[in-house]
Amino acid sequence: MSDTTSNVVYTPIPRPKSRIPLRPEALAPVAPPPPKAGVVPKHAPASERPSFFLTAMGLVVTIKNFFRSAASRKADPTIQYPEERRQYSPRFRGIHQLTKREDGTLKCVACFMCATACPAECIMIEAGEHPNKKYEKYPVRFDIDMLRCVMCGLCVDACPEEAIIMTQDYEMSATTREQTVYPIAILADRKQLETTPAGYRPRYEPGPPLVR
Amino acid sequence: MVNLTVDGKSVAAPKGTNVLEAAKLVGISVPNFCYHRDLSWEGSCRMCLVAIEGRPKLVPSCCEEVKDGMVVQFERPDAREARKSQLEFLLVNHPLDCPICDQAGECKLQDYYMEHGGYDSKMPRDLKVHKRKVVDLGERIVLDKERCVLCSRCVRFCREVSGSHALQFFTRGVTTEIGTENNQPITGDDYIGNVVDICPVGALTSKDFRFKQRVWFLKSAESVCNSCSTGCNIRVDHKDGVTYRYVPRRNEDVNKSWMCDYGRDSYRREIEDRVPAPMVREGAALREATWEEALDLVASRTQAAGPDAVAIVGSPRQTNETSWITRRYAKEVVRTPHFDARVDGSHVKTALLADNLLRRQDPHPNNAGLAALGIIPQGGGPDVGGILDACQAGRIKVLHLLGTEILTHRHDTARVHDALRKVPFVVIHAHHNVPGLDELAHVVFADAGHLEQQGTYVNALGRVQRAQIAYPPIGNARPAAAVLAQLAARMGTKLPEGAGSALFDAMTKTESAFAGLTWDGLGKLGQPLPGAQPLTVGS
Repeated sequence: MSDTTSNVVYTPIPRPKSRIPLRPEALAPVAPPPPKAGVVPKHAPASERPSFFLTAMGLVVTIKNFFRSAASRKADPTIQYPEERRQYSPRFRGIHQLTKREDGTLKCVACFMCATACPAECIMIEAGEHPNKKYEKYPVRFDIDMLRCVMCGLCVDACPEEAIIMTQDYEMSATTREQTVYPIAILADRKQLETTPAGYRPRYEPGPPLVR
Repeated sequence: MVNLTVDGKSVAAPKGTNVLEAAKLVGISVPNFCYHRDLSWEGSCRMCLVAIEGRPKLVPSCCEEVKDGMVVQFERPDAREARKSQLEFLLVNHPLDCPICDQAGECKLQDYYMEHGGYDSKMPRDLKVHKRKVVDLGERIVLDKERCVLCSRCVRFCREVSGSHALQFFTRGVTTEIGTENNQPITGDDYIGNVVDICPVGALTSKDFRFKQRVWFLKSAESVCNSCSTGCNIRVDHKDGVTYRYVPRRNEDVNKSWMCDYGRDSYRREIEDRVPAPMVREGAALREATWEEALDLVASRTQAAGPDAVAIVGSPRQTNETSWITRRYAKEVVRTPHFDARVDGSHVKTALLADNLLRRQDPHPNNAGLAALGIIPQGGGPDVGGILDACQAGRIKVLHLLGTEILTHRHDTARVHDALRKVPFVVIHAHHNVPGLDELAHVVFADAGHLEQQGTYVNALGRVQRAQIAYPPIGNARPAAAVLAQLAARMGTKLPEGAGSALFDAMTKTESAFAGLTWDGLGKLGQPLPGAQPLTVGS
């Protein structure tokens, strides 16, 4: 049922069509490679023979870049992680976040839609009676097993409340398996949320800012 | 029989049925909220409108008795349009609660909405009439007045079946709502849990099942309630080896569509405080043991004691198949004269009703089955009291109990404890922990529950009913029939082993009381014992 009182229209982002036409030869059966006799065939064409000149050309590139990056950090394509971070798309599918209502309670109503949609079966929810009768149902437990999660974002698509979204946070190393199961405390309240921008949230409509 | 046609198909329906049931006979499922097979006809929801030739207006099929030569048109466009519009009316004030509603997944409103289309509401959300939500109606029921479609099934149930008149309609027009007087909690109705099952929407939800699990995750098995000798047919809803609820399964000859609240709660016994693995006494305490160790110990002690010093007590909570194996174990393997199953005197109350609807005074599901197998004799003979006397006199060296009822269901607990203390070796098949088990047992066999093994039970009316397996035994538990067969093998005798269905088919070949019955022939609703009158003991 659509909301007739709201005049905000959600327009999906059009996807660009692929500009690479499908090559007919790509569909043809591939001939098996000829048997390899020795390292280089005796009468190989010049381009395939080992050449001192080509090796020297490659070294020139290496040496040039060595001096260039020594001269200026700006020209260096290497990122000095973790001091430097790459900029990611606003649709980046990083660690999930459980969003909150304006009064600070979790938006999640424990409807199990995400757990139903999840292809990896990594979401474990335990529902309970909310102390506030207005909200009725809430997740007592909401765990995501990050070792099983495939970061597909189907949970975000399935959510009817925009209660689960993804962030651009991707740092999830851990030293024990127990640490890789993220409870509400991490999904809703981890410290990185203050600095990490939101990621995949297809239902986002301009409106009140995201309460974190 | 009355002959009529529904959508061009001719139907012969018994006299007195309604058009809706007649349509069902030719595979036409007429949508309905208010109609229920075991309640009176109401015709309040208007979802079952059909066209009948010769009638000026559309007719609710649930309230129309079949007549000879009637021509019913279910798929006529105007009838279809009327039903769709009626559904739209019902949805006008219906809240968008599906994510938090327990009924989602088994909701008729959801099903018909998907079937009839009309996905975009013409009703602005702000203009919906709001009513009270989350009304606490006592221990079992939570009422949401907004979600109600006013079908009056629950009102009729309280009026016609349970007789409590607890739920009623209040006020008029668009503000009509169901509820109790002053929203008081419902007390004194032992069947009120049924209104949750018959509610076609999520207005009445069970406090016990509420929010525990989404229904589409649950798997179902067809079983029989084991809380009394009525043997109500149930559906067991479970997931990952945990039972979440019992739902009555319709069986016109036993429980219609109902079951009592006591039976409904008994699923907890299948998950709480279970004995997960066999245990063997070591000093003052029991320790966990392997099956091999426990079986070897019991077999050697039983053989060493000799037939006259072994007593075996069957259990009215075990299936017919297990009881049959138990009898054969006692008579053919151990050859003991001390064998009985009248553990607590409940066998004389098997047929007695405990209330005016379903519940019976006998708390065990299979006393009638034990009688059919001849384990409970028709008259006389030493009963469990005699065995306890023998225990107290020190004549019994090995006491083998197929259940824990002797510890839990008898009034003379002190005497039982005293007698068991005098026995040097007590073997108990325990399903869950009971008081005295730690102190009195020397070997505890972890027993599979009645949801964890196939089997049959004979109810108070002499009906043999199947219980299907819902999930494998929890932990390391095993069905008692298999344990006894393994004990017999250690003593050099072969007893039949296998699934309950195979054991039943083997049993019916030799047991005259079950002659002619087969597992497949029992069907989902069971069969009466051949040739036997309904059990008359104590009735």
